[in-house]
Amino acid sequence: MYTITITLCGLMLTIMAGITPPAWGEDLPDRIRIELLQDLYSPVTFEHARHIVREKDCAVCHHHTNGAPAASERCIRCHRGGHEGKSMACRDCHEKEPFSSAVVNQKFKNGQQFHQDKPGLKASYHLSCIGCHKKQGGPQSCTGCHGLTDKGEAFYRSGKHAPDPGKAAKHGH
Amino acid sequence: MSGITRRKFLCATVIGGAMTTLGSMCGKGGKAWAAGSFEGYPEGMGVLVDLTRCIGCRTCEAACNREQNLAEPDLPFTDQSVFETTRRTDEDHYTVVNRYATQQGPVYRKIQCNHCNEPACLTSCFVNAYTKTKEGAVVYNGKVCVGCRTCMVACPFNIPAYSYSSAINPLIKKCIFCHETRLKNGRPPACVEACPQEVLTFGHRKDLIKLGHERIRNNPGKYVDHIYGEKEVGGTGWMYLSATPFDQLGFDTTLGNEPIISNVKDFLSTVPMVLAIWPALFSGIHLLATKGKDHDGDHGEDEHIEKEEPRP
Repeated sequence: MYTITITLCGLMLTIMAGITPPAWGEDLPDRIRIELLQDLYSPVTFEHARHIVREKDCAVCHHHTNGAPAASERCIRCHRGGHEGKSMACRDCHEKEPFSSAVVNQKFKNGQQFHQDKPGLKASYHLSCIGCHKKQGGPQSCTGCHGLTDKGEAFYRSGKHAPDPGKAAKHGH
Repeated sequence: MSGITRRKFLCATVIGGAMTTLGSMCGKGGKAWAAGSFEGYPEGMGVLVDLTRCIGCRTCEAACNREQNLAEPDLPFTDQSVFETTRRTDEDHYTVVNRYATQQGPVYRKIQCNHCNEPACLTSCFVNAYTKTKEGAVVYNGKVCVGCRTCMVACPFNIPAYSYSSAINPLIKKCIFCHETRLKNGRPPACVEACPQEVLTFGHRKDLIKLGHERIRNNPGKYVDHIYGEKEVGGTGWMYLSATPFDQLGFDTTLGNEPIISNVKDFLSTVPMVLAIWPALFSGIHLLATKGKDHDGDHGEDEHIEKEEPRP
């Protein structure tokens, strides 16, 4: 009896080791340069490896796409495991243009019960990053992660495109 | 004069009275008959504003400034000192973000035209300068505006502003949902596209209501169980979700669900009726009262009156 139990335990351990995704470390990027959306701000170099050390659960950012159970209570009802996505990159699911006519017009018409409230790519980055930075004390200001480009300074009327400082005083507001 | 007999007059009075009663009944029960209610175009667009996401970066303000070619601001859009006062929309700022201190920390709230289904600015304008487009925008035609500024008084959200700086041709200035440059071509307004946090979700208004309720349900305890603008003043194109009670963030929660025009709609719908009935009614009374005074009546019924009220 005792032998059988030990054998079973051993067997289970073997199986568990088997289903754990193998050797993630090999193809995991240590740094990711996020430059797809760069326009007003310069690209962000995301320290992927350093974030993995801090937040060990991949699902917090990658949901269920690596095949592990989803982190959120709501998602786990469907994505208990084994739903490995074709890609783990944010940009492959979150649209770059979430409000294009094509996306807006198929909302609630694509037959999907879930995933209707999926943020676009830009919002996915910002909601995840700032949301976590607030809790963990990471940078939260815009320029804490990415610097303004010249185009950005013109857009925000800051830096060398700033309004004449005397103007505010003159108008009195 | 002799054409109107007492019988005809009484008959007309009874019919007139019945019509007035019918009119007022329809006015209360079935508004569609007396004066139509408009609940927005079925494919009208809107924006759902989730205040829990706003970080007060003012990117929406900068985007609006650029898109609408507004005047250069006094301070850079990166300047946070503007939050020290509560600002309102004006001729150079079609949208502004205000900060409210709450127990959970600061909450930022963007304001702009809410693009009502049944806009008070539109219904109050006597030269029809406003149009609610099928895409859902409330736009303004400066060419016909006479500058009476009734719309500024009528708007329950205090949004329309006036270009007082222009001495020659002052106009009403407000957010037009980027209708000309974007919305009518199926693109989201500039502020929505610029927002880094997707505080602003653009879509068909009916989808956004579904989405809003879903977001409330999927995040138990996070939001106030209400979409501000779903029903307020007959429904607005721009709607808000919040974790803080709306009245603490400067929202007027006393507006009710009826469009502003409903306050006067019942009254206004009786005006044509009054115009039709009153002349006939009072002509009749006048004729009747002066009947015997002009000439001796020789009709049976009129004799009867004369007997009751003999002339001195």
